Amino acid sequence: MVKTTQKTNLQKIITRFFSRRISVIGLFVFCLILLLAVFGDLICPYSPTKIIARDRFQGPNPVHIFGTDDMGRDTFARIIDGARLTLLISGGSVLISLFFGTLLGLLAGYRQGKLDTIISGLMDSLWAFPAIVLAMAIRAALGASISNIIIAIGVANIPDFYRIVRSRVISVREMEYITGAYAIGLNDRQIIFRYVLPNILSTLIVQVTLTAAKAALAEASLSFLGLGVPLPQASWGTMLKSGYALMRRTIWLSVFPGIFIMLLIISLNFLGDGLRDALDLRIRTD
Amino acid sequence: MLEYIVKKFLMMIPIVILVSMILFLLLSTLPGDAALIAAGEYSSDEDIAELRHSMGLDQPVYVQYWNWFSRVLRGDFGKSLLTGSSITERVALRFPATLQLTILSMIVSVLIALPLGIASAVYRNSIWDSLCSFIGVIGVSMPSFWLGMLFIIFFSLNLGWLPTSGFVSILENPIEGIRHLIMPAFSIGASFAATTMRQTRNALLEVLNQDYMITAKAKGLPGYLIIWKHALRNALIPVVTVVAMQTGKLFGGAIIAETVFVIPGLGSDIVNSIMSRDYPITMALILVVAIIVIVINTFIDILYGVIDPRVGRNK
Repeated sequence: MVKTTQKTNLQKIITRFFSRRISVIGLFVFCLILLLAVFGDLICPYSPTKIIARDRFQGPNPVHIFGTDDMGRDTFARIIDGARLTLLISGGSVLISLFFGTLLGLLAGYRQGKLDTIISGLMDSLWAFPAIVLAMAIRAALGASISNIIIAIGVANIPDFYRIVRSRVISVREMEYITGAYAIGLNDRQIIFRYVLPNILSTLIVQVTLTAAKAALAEASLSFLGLGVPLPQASWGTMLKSGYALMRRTIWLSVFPGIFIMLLIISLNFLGDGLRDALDLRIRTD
Repeated sequence: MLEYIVKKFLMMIPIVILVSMILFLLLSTLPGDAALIAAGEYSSDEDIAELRHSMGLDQPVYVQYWNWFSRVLRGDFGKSLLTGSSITERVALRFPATLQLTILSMIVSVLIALPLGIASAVYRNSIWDSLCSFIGVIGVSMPSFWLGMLFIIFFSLNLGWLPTSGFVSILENPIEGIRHLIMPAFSIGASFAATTMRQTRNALLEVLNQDYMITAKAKGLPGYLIIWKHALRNALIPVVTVVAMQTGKLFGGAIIAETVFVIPGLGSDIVNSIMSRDYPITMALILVVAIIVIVINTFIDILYGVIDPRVGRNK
């Protein structure tokens, strides 16, 4: 009995998700970028790192569809390579924010009292930094490497998850079924895993997509400022940085990586909006 | 009421202390000893040891923190490791550029957001509405530094209308000042305009559905008067809040824009100081930015309490 209602719920969610144009566009573009990162080598025969001096500064042409950079490297190949790095950093950092934000939010919201005051104080202080500034400070403290960038962006975005998890837990906690669960003698952990977490799952899924977009933007910004991915690896942010330095010579290096960053962020935001409507039942009727 | 305001103000203190602790722990316990950086590459081990002692680096972290923070409370951020110059003076010197840029970006974002937000609410589900949501999506998804780069390519390098970089104070030379700041302000303002626009639209839609709007219509008031006098005034409170709440992010945006447009503000200096490992400067600059954000957020909280008496009284 329970199973069938769950299934119809899931079907309803899927139908709702695919009935909105922006969700479908978001999913489609995101899958395209994902496929590009995974199978890009199959469609692009060039190396992202091989320097060919005579091919420098080409505009888009049939051989190099996005042109080449100051060292004759194929821009499309570097964008494919950068897609991997950008997705890795944004995905990895979201996992960090998700895990710690949810854990702290659950603790603070469920236990309340002193623990809540302490954790909330800490999170409010993190919140006082503009996220990009906090990421810069953490990255400065840890040094330049891909894993350190993931940690820096991940930690900077913890308050995103903390805030929504805590407030959702506080409202779920007052529900009658929680009191019921206490009454039949379940302990805190059982209640959290069986009743509280499933109830905030949809909120978390939506926030993951939105924070992933934020993280991708943060990665690009850090790399652009020279505080991101160490050379010679290409992320879209580092590519824009070199595009900026060579702006007077060619505009193409500034254009293509930016378009891809924008597409990724748009697709994640669309995906998040679509999922929110599909999962949350908060559909506007206007 | 007074009790509520005082309480909000007092709550800033622990947060500022925590912020300063986080910053200090992050940046003073770094790999690459500050004494090494200050002494320079070719100093002897004894020199470095002596410098470390005179800088207090051989003391426990909490003593170091207190030495630093107690000086900060007196308005002294210490000295640059590299040049030995006063950081407080440096912050004061660089602050106006960031402040002017942030204020101008806020103005720009409101000037974009309000008309578009109103148009999309009043002409709901029309082509205006779609156009606005399209602009909103682009604004949110476009990295501000990329938009800035495209501006430079188009308006400076191609058309030659505006300078690519630099800063002139608007107070000293308004025309040149705006010519230098308008592109950075637009590149930051665009993404914030998107959020503000959405908020304007939603707030206005909510108000438009209220009974008193129907009454106003029934009285036969002309459309623009209804929107202007009745709807907008009531819709503006959440809009103002959203604008104010974005100040912190605006500062974040300014940091990147300052680097793109080579503006000598706090933001570009944070980046420079991290690059040159002059961490006392990094700490000072980030602390200043964080404190500004905390103060602004506190004012919004208080404002909320004043406007809506239900907020936060029983806590």
